[in-house]
Amino acid sequence: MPEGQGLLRVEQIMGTAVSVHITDPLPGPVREALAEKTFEWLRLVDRRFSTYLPDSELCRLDRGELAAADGSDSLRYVLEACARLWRETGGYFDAQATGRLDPSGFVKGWSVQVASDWLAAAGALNHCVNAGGDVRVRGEHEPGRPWRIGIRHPFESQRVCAVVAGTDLAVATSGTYERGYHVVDPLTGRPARALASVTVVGADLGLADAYATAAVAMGEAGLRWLDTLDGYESLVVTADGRLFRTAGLPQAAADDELDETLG
Amino acid sequence: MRRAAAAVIGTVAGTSLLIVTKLGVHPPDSGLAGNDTSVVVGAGGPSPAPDTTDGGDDEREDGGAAPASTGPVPAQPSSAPSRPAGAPTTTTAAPRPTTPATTAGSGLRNGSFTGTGVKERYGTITVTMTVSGGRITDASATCGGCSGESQSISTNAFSRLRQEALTAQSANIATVSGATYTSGAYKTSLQAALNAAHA
Repeated sequence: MPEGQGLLRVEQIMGTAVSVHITDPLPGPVREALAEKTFEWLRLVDRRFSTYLPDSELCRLDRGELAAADGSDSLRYVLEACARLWRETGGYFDAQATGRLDPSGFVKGWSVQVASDWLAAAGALNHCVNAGGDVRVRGEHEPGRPWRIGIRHPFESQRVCAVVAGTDLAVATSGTYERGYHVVDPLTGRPARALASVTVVGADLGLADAYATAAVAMGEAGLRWLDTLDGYESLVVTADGRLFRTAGLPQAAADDELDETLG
Repeated sequence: MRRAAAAVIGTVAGTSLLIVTKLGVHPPDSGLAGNDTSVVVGAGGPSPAPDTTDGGDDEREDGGAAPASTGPVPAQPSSAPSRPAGAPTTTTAAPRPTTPATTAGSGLRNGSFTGTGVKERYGTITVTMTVSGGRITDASATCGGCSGESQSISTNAFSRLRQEALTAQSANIATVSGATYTSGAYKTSLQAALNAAHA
C-alpha cells in the first residue's frame, strides 16, 4: 500500500493530539488551507470549552461570571445538547458528574463532527479527523478503499481488537485505560470500572462520544442500554476481558479478503 | 417516573436472582425453552433505562453550532439521528412449551420458568426466565398494577450485542479509535506510529 497519500497534519489541541487527513486530489495549498481552517475551529472550541483555561467561556459560566444567554451560540448549543443527553441517558451522561461543569464527553466529538461537516461542505469529501481517538471519516482513504479504523485493544496499546470500515462514519471510544477511572457514575459518585472500553459507531460523533461515555458510567448495565440505541452500533470490552459487539457493527473485511477483492 | 421505573427494574433484577436460586432447587412445572443462545445475562444492577417520555424537544436547532465570526463556518452539526420514540424496554416472548429438562453443570435446569408474583410497592411483579445450557439466557418481568412503561419490563439477554473472543490484532488501518490519550501519551500511541508512517 502506498504511504504518503494525501495531506496529514497533527496538532496538539484540547489536551490531546488531533489528526486531520485529507485525501481528495486537491491542489496542495488548498488542502493545507482546509486543514488549517479545521484546526482554527478546533482551537476556538478549545478556547471556549477548556476546563483548564480560566478565561474560557465554560469556566466563566461555571464560576457564575457569564450568563449562558451572553455566551456564544456554541456554548448555548452545547449546554442544550448536554441537557438532552442527560435526559436521554437516564442521567448517566452528566456534564456535572464531577461537581464541576465539564461537557468534554460531548464537546470533543461534536467539534470534530462540525469540522468534518464543514470540510465536506468546503469540498474535501475524503477525509479523516481524529481527535484523541474520536474519529469522523468521510469518503475514501485511497481510491476504492474505505477508511479502516482500528479499535484500540484496551489492554495492548499497540494493537487493535477490531477494525471497522466505512465511507461516512463516526467512531467514538471511551474507556478506563488511558486516563484511569475518570468516568464517574453520577448516581453513585464512584468511578465506573466495569467496562474497560466502549466504542459507539454511527452518524454523529457528538452523540457517539456522549453515548460511549454514558455507557462506561453505567457499567455492566451499559451493555443492555447500548443494545437499545437506534442507529448506533457498539463494541464493548469489559474489565474482565469479555468482548461484546452488535451484529450491525460495520466490521472491515480482513486484509487478505480486501486484497483479493481488489486483485 | 424515571425513579419509579428504575426502582421497579432494580427490584425485578433482584427478584430474578431470588427466583433463579429457587429454581435451582425445585424445578417448576412450566416448560423448557428451545432457545439455545449462549449469551450470559448480566443479571442484577438497575437498568439505566432512559426516560423517553418527555420527548418533543429533542430536535437539534439549526445553526446553533455556528461560530459567529471565525473562518471555518461549521454551519450546523450533522442531522440528528432518529431516536426511538418508545421506551427502550421490550417484551419477551412468552415462554415456549417444552421438552425434557437436562441438568447443567451450574445446577440450573434448562427451560422457561415463571415465578409466582411478588407484590411490590409498584404492583405485582412476575418474572419469567429462560435457562439454556445451564445459563440464564433470558429474563423478563411483567408488572400487574404498574402504570405506563413499568408494565412490561425486560431484563432480556442482549439481542444485538453478541459475545465474542477478545483478540489482539495488528491490522492494516488508517487510524485508531480509542479512549482519549493526553498529548504526552500520544507520543507512544499507535496513532502516532500510523501518522509517522504516513509522513
